[in-house]
Amino acid sequence: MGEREEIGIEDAISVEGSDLTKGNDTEDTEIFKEQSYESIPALHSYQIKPSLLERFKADPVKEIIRNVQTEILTGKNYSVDNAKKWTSKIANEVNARCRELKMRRYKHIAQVILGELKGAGVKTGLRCVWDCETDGFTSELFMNDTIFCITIVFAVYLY
Amino acid sequence: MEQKPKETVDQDLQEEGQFVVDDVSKIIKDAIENVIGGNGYQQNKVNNWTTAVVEACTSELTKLMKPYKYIVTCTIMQKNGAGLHTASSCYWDNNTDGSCTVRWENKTMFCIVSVYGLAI
Repeated sequence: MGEREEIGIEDAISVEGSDLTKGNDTEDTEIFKEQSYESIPALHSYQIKPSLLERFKADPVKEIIRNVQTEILTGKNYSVDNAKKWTSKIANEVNARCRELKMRRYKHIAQVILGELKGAGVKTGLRCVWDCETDGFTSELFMNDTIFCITIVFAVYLY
Repeated sequence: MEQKPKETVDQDLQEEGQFVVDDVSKIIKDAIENVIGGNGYQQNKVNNWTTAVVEACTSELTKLMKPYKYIVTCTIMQKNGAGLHTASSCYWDNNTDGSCTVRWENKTMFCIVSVYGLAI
């Protein structure tokens, strides 16, 4: 950098005394341009928060859960063998469709609780330690005469 | 002599970056025992029990001081001959994230607690 400046000054001195001003001017301006380009600071940025548009939206996910549950469970009665299959099927299907939503930099978990309606009391609670501004969850309950099914989807942002 | 501190530092970093299932499983079992312990299913108390179990788990997990976000779910069901199934499907990083599910029962009820840990 220092050497270039010295060359520039020398050229400026020689320019004043000669007729070849145009040629030397372009040389000076070229050197000038290089110097100014290097003096601009490079912008390094890393996104630490999702923008409003990219944030987790509960409604499309709720739709997905509702659709998957109705597709797999309408008109069915509880049976031990099928219940096992249905639970994993619903979980995998919801997971696959959430992946299609392409929520950038979000990890998601789909949890399914499926049971037989026999008059037993059931209570489900959950608590999360996360960042309220970026993370969220939705849940949906499906009931028919013999089956109840709760599906919860959690979405967690990756910093 | 110089290598030893490096090794310990690497080990610490590895432990921080992994979801240790055994520690978490122990925490969950202790929490359930303390809250529900020797009780029978009571409909008016179930609400408080689920909240208490879940709160006990989260407070113990945060005490581990790891760079993780946690999700704790608890399901308590009366023993009535009815069947219950749970499944979960996760889209995450297998190296750093993990889950732990504990099934506990006594004469009158079942309790299923799932803990998901996601690395920051």
